[in-house]
Amino acid sequence: MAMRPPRLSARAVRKSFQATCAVDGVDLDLHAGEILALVGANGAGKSTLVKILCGAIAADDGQIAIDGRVVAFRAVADALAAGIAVAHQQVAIIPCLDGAENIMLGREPRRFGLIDQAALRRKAQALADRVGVAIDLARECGTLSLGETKILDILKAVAHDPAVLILDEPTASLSLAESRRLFTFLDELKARGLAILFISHHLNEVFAHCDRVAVLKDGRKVFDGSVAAATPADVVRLMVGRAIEDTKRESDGAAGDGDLALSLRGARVGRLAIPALDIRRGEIVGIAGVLGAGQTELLERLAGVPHGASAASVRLPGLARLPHSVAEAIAVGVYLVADNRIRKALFPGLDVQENLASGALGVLSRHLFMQPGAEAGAARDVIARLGIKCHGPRQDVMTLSGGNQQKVAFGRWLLRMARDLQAPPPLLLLDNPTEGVDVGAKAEIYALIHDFARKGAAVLVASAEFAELLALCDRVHCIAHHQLGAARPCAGLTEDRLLLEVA
Amino acid sequence: MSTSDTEVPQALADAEGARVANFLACYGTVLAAVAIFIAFSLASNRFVSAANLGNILVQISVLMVVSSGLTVAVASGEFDLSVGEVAGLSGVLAAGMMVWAKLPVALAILAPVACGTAIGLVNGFLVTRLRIPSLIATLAMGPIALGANYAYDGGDSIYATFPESFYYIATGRLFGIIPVPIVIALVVVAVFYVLLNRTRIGRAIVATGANIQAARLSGIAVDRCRVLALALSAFGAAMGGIMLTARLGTGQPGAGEPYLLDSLTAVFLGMTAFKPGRATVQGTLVGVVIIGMLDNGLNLLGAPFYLQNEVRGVVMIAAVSLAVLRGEIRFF
Repeated sequence: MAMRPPRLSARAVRKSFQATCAVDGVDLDLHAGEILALVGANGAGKSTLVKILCGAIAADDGQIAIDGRVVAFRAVADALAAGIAVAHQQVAIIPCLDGAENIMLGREPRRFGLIDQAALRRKAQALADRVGVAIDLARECGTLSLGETKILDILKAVAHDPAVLILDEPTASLSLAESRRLFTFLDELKARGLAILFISHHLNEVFAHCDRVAVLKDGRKVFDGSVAAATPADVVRLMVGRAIEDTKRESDGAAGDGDLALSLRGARVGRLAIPALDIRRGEIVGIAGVLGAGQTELLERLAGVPHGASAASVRLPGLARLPHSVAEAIAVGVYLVADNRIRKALFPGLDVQENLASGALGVLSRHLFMQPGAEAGAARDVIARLGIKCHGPRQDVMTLSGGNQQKVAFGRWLLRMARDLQAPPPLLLLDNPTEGVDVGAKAEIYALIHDFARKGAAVLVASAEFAELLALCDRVHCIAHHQLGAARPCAGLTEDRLLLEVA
Repeated sequence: MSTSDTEVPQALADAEGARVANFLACYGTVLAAVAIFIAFSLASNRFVSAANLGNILVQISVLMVVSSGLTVAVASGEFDLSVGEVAGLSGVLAAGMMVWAKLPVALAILAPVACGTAIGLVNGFLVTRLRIPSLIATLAMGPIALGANYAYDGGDSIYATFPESFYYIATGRLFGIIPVPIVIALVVVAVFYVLLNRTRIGRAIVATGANIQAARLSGIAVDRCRVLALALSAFGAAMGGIMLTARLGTGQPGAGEPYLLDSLTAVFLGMTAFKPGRATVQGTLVGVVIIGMLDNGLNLLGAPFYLQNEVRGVVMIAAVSLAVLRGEIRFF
């Protein structure tokens, strides 16, 4: 028994992207009938490792073996044929097909060249019965709950009869009850001898349901052992693995004494409940939550995007309700730097100057006409002040580096504040402000945010990187169980603590 | 360029390489237009004559007006597939109003333009309020406009003599030399150029076309931009239709139809020039000139009539595939 090779074994796997080593010599063994959790902070190399294991990208170095046999993948199809199936975080279920059709998608049994509906249903049902799934496979998938869809998506992966099943954050969008049901299903798969690699941010799940846990940090495996041999606190320490750098915000005493820039009571945005949220001028308040916890919707709603929301009481400068439109929010000085700059903040194909001016068209125009001189001057000022590296204001914004693109996303509001003399003191809403930005640019953006606050801006920042919140904020709220917790001063808080709170 | 370049030499060298590639991306289409010009000049000695060049400009004036309007729609991120039928409808309306209703020329021009613009507003309503993709909404509006056209004239052409002043649109000469249709076309091009490049609403339209979500989050009234862009597109088409009627001397219900493919081709060709990936009025102008030269040159060379159709299709495919391969345009 102990002589049997692991179902999946990776040795010294390495992968670099340009200068950064995303996965740096990782060994991983996965045995039949076990669930191995793979955890790590954002950017630790989890997704790169998963992509290598499932054949989506090629490793620079190292080898992968299945049942002791060395394999080489050129494409996802190779990995699938070798017995590695993946259920990605985004479900690949087609809503207008029913469960059976989805499970057998692309491998429909055929008779005389046409799909054999009876055989298709028989096969799908047999698979569902074997692993104890009681979902009605004749129902159109669009009518199923999120949890049921997720189970079908995993079943679809299982239909390939894999040796190894990789689950990328399967519970990310599920409610607690749905997660429980998913784990019952996973236990059944495990009992049938499947080797499961489970990627999750939720440590309590990991410790409740997995057999072993492997911790990645900066591309290296820093721990691999039974869940009985560690505690969630140990794992968090390993994930963070360093003393928090001393970028911490110096509270100069003034923060928190300013006027209220925003006050929310008894509010709800989508699924997120917000009992109380207050931000004063000169203060930086953070929201800690795993991705998709509802922080993006909250920030967007405050910025005037019409997400469904309600509030018992709202106080914004000059407004006693949530803004009806983005234009109204901007008029009262509420500016959003959105989370996905390519999708939501930048104008591909337009140049740096046009991008910078995009938030201030009214300010930069007179009698319906743009003022080319004013626009160019304002853009030059912002480029110089933020140190945006570009050949000139006329360079296409998409050819800039990620950090410089992010500075442009900030710069749009900076330009408006600098040029609009009637502008009210700003409330800045920052959603993952350093997403995909290198370390150097990160420090510059932190300095920029601190500078905003020093000059009297109120700042609300949501981030999935908790070290960032600790470096930036005076106080921080945690999102847990679809609720925004009470604010706590950052002094004395640690990244570990925050991770445990939101897990 | 700017004299305040303070970058290190290496960066300058990199920038130089990028600049050469950039130049080709921006001016390749213009170079192609020049190449076509030279090729036809060599192939036919009649091509470069002043009379023929003037002729080309007159021939493309209608297309220039229609395409300029369509450019605004495409810049806002929307298609307008109703331009051909709107041009046809407005041309027939103008003829009918002069011949049947005996309306004064000015009114017979203004009313069809207003009517065409109204169709554009309806397109805008369908796209922004009913959330029908513009590709579908304007595709459906085409036959509706054509049906209205047939209903008005019974499906027949309107043959009659128009008031003398109406022909001035097609055959008049400003200061006795410059053909009026060219003047009209240049004025329309200039107005749309200024609109897109110099006005606040124009910038908002371009931003909406570049990234509607980012535009919305910037406080830009994106729906207003899209409605206006579609209205301007129909406005251009209606103007073009009237110029066409003046040139043909009759109101022909089907006269506008070919302008859909031609104007789309011109806009797509234009998207490969100057500011790659963007619909610009100056780019579209280059596209229109290329189409005009191809038509005229092939005619002069005595090419069979069907070759013009083949060439149109091939040019359209070449322009779009170039732009898509270079990642400058993305569809859906």
